[in-house]
Amino acid sequence: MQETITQGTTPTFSFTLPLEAAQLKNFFVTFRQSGKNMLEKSISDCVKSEYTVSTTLSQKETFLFSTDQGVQMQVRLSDKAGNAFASPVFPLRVAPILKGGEVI
Amino acid sequence: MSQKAIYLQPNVFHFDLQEHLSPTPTVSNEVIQARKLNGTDYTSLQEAIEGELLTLKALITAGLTFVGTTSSKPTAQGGAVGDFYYCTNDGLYYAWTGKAWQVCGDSTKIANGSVTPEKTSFISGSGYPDLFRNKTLLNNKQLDNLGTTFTSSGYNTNRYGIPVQEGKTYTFSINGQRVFITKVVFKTTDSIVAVDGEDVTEYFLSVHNSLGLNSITAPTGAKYMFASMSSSYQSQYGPMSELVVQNTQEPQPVNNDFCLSDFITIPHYVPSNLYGLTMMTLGDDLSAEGEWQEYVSKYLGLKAVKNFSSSGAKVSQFLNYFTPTLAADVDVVFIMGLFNSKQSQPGTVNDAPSSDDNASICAGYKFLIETLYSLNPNFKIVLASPHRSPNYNVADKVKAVGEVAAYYGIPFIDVYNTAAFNDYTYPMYLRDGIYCSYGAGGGYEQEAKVIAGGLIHYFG
Repeated sequence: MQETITQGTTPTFSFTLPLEAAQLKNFFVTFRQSGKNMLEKSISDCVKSEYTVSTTLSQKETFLFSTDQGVQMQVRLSDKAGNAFASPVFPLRVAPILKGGEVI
Repeated sequence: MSQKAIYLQPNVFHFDLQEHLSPTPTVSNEVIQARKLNGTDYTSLQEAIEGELLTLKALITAGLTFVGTTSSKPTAQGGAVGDFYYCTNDGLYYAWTGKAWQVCGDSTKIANGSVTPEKTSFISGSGYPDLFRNKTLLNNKQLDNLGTTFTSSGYNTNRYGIPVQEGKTYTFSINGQRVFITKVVFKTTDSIVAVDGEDVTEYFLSVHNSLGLNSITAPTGAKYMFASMSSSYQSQYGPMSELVVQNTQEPQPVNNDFCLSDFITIPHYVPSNLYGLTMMTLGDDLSAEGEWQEYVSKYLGLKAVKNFSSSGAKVSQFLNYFTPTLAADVDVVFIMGLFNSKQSQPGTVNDAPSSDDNASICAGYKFLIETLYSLNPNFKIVLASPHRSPNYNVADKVKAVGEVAAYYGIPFIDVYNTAAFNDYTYPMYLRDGIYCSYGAGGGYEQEAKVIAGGLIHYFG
């Protein structure tokens, strides 16, 4: 199922890994729209648990995406043994909001 | 109205990367099966494809060894049933039956009956002399006006139709020289005679009679052309068995800087407004051959020229071979000629229109113009004087034609007084003192340059 990012929200992306999160050396989540990388989250932006890594977008970050096109997301990571991995590219939708701006 | 509870959930998306991270993707059973090809278990699909391509290439290379000569064919023990062998020295194809090499094809011949008119109907630029060979000509037969033939001594008619394309113009020649033929019929079937009692008139499309027919445009729906040639024409030009029908060259726009001659330069606005239009020509011997029309068509990029001119025609006879239905798509009507109206006086523009053979030039031309306008007031009618000849002094008649043009306010191209036909150029422009010479630098080309220049002058 294709997930939907709603503008002006704080969506959390949680990734279940095939290796222990403690073994991660690097971890990147890239969001691309209209052929351009709009946002990148690195390991320092993520929260690790035993086999999962999650990262949350801010309201401001969700406004980087326009609602008239889909967003593509991909994870790349490397472990301490030197292996590098890449996930498939996941398509995401962007939903608009009626009241603009951030909600504090 | 009932209340509906709405629960706001935090936006949390879960992605399980355990099975999706490369370089350790999970391989499906389908892919595993696909890797096994021809007994080989490849480690990847890419290896499988590359390996099989190499095998295929090797097979093709091996197959090429089956080209050789009759003396180098494998021995009986060397072949397997179905093996195939091509011999370059005899051009034959052989197949191994299990016991011997048997001929299964001949690359040097075309099988009898395999090339039919339908299979060559795409050809538009080549001649069809074979269709007029003696054995396929009907001797002493002439086309009638219903698309069949009747007995007529000395005439020949082609038994099988020449494939044509509608809208294309075809010319007739024998041994490279343009010739006249007597009659043309267009049909939708390739046979002029009835087969198994069929009604051949069902396939009849149109008939074209002319004493001076040396080009014809295939009408809408035409698929095959049939021609009759009289014995007198064959005596004059050569046997009909040598007749060649060719599609004339498509009109091409000329370059902007095209220079007509030392005398006349087409202005820079060529291609003209006449590009893509259809012109019809009415006249006598000077136009009947269709020679100057070909040049004009090329200079101006005309779509087509329909020539209804005929040899020996007087002004009063210029409409004799004109068919209104064939002129339905005509834009420009070009009329030139008066040499044969020897008995006619120049007359004045006050003369009443007349189709009488001996009526004045003015009366005859007025009759032509009024007849044409009554058929189609949108015709762009153009009058022209003929070229000069040392044998004909028709200056007063030329003046009369110009006055008729002015009377109707239509263009008049004065070839007689502007095309530089004079004692110095007659040897170059005339082949017999009257008729224009052919080819580059000849009279027809010179005449065409003046006419094209005049048309551009009037129509832009």
